[in-house]
Amino acid sequence: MTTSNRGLQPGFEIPSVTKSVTLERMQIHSGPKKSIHTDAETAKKSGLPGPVMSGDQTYAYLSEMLRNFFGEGWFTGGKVATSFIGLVQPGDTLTTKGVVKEEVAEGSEARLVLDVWIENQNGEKVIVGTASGLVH
Amino acid sequence: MNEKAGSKEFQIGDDAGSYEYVVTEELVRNFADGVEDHHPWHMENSPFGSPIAHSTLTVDNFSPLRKKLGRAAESGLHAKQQTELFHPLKIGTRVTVRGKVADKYEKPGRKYLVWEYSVFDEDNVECIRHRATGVTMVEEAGK
Repeated sequence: MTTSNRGLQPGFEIPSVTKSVTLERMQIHSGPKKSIHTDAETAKKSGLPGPVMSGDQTYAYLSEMLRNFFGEGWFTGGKVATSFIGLVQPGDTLTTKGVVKEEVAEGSEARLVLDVWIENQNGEKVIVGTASGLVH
Repeated sequence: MNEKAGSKEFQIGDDAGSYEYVVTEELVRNFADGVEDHHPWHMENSPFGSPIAHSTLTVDNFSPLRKKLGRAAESGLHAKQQTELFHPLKIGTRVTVRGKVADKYEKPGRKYLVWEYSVFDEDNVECIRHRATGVTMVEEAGK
């Protein structure tokens, strides 16, 4: 199921993924140990307003979008580089975004480069970066 | 990714060695439950001949490396993450994780620590490469 997404023009937006953030899911992902990701008291002791989602959990949401788009080429040549710029808390709704930046040759194949980010229900970005995968 | 006050500092180049674990079906299923991603490639079968792990299953694999250097993985925040994927990890694979402290730096009120670590399969083939930057909490770093 390698994608045939060659020739996509800059600005093309790939299908997004939307997730509702709950403390229960954060505890499944980051628990059972109490931490800033799973426990309100621990988070507040660290100066946070409450439990915040771990970066690798939000990172997984981006990856889900990229796997869905690139298919096999994601697992055999995917690259992603991100910065975490906003806190994510229970009650938030996150939507991943990916927009084609350019296509570059890579051997007999091509690499499609995207600007990627995740934004919350207020349109505030919580992760920004770039990602790329192989397309045939 | 905080460092306890008074404990020894990580140094750039600190080699944490390696550790092994098996990518079990249970591990993948728990990850899928946490991130609500039960794609059939992870739960049933994939184009690679068997079910595979999510591509970000190994992102937090630097935490045991910290412990190997005598530091628990304490609360802290991700600042940056980079990942390169070369081969999928099939469920049942015994993987080896190797890593080191790649960099550390400070900005006003914040300390950053950078880990580079890779995940290898049983044939010692590098499947995934990560570079994670963690930041200590402002309150602690500023004391």
